[in-house]
Amino acid sequence: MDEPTRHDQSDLGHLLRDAVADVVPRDHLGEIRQRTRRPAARTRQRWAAAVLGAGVATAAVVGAVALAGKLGLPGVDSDPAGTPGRPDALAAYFVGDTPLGPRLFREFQAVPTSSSGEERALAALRLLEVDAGPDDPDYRTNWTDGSFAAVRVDDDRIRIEVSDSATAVLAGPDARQAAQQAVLTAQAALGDTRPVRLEAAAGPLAVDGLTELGRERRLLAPVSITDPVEGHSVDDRLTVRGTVGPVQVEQEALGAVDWELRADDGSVAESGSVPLDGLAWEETADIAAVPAGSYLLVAVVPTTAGPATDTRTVTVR
Amino acid sequence: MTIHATVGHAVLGASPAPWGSAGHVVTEAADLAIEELYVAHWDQLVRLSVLLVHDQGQAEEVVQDAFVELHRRWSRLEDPDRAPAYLRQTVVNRSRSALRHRGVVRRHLARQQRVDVAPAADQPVLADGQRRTVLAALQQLPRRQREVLALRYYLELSEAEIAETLGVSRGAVKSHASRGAAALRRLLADHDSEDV
Repeated sequence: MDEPTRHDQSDLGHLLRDAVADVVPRDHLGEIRQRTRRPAARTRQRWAAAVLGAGVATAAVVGAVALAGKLGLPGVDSDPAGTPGRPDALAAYFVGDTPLGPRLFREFQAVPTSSSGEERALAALRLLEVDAGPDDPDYRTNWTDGSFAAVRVDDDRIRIEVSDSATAVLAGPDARQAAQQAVLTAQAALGDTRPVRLEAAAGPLAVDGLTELGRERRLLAPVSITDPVEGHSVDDRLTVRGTVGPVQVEQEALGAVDWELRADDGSVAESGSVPLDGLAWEETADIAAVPAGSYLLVAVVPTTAGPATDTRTVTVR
Repeated sequence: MTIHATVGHAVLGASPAPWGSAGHVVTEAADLAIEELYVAHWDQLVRLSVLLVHDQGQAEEVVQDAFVELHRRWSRLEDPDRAPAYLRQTVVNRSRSALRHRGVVRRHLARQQRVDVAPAADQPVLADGQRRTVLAALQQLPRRQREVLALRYYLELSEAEIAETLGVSRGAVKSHASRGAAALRRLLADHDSEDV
C-alpha cells in the first residue's frame, strides 16, 4: 500500500514555491531600458539565433511559432534570422506501459530540416533526451540531457557517440530498453537498418555483452498510433493510422486494429476496426456528427496478457 | 490585475499610428507599460524560469529578453491586457531554447574535452538540501511535465491558461500534470528513502 509521503500532491505548490524562495533576482531594469531605448531598439536574439545558427534540432522553436499563431499573439521569433526552415517530421521511440511490460512507442516530432542524414539522426536522438522528451504524457524516456554527441555512418555500422553521463543509462536496469530507443530512432532517421554501436570516450559500450546492436522486435509496442499527433485538432474527418508490433501479428494472428473516440465521460463517440496492411493500419472516418470537444483516441489490440492500447488526446472543432 | 488594465488603457489611448510623433507616444506608452510589468512580474518570472532551466543567471537573461521582445512588439500587441500571458509564454519558450542551447554547449565541450561539464556556476547559490532536491528532481522530468507542473503549482494557472500558454489541449495538460506530479513524488520519495 502506498504510504502518504510529505511530498503528496497538495504539497507540490509549497515545494515548488519553496524551491525558488531563496532566488533573489538581480535588477535588470536598467539593461532592459538600455536595450529598448530609441532609436536603436536592437534586441539580442541570442538563444534562438545561437541555437539555429548551430543547426540544432529545435522542435521547441518550431512549436513556439505555431503556438504564438494559435494564440493570436505576436510570434516568438518571426524575424528572418529566427525563422526556421520547413521542419522534418522524425520518428522517436519512447517507453510506455503495456500489459506485457514496458514497450517502445513511436512518436513523430518536428525538427528543422537537414540534408545530412547524420545530422537528422542526431536531431532525432536528441528528442529522446529528457529536456525534449515525448509529447504524449503516457510516454517516458531513459536518456538524460546531453546524452548524444554525434552520429557517424560507416560502411558496416551506425556509430552513436554518447556523453560520459549517458554511459550510466547503459549500465542501469533499463539498458536494453534505452539502447533500443537509440537504435530504432537512429535507424528510422537514416532509413538504414545497419547495426548500431554506442560509443563513449573509453570506447564501444556493451549492452548485454553486445557492442553491435540490432533491432529487438519484441520490445516494440503491440499497437502504436502514428496519426493524429498528441493534442491534434480535427474538423469533420479524422484520419487514424499507426503500426502494430510484429510479435502480436505472429502470436495473435492479428488481422485488425480496433479504435474508439472516447468523450470525457467515457462514452464512445465514434469507433472503427481497421484491417492490417502488413504491420500498418489506416482509416479515415467521418466524424461530422461528433460534437466539438476534447476526446481520447484509443487503439486496441489483444495480447496474451490482455488488451494493449495506445492513446492520443484529440480536439474536435 | 488592475495594473494591466491601466497599462492597456495607456496604449489604447494613444494614436493608432505607430509612426512619426505618434510613434513617440506609443514608444513612451511601451516604456511605461514595460516598467509597470517589470515591477509586477520580474521576480516571479525569473523564479519560474529557474524552475525550468535550473540556473539563475540564465533565467534572468531569458526573462530580460522576454521583456525586450514585448517592448519591441508592443504596438502590434492585439490586446495589451494579455501582456502578462505573452510574457509567460515567451519565458517558457525561451527557457526551452536556453536548455537546447546549453545542450549544444555541453555536447561541444564534451567532444572537445571528452569530459562532462560541471554544474552551472549559479547552482550552489540556488538551493540547499530540500530545495536542491526539488530542483534536481524537476530537471529529471520530461520538459513538458516540468513546464505544466511549474505553471500549475508555482504560478497557479488554471488548466485552460496552461493549455493556452503551452499550445496543447486541456486533456494533455491534465495528463502531463498527473503524470508529472506522480513522477516528481516518486523521485522525491526515493530521495527521502536514500536519506534514511
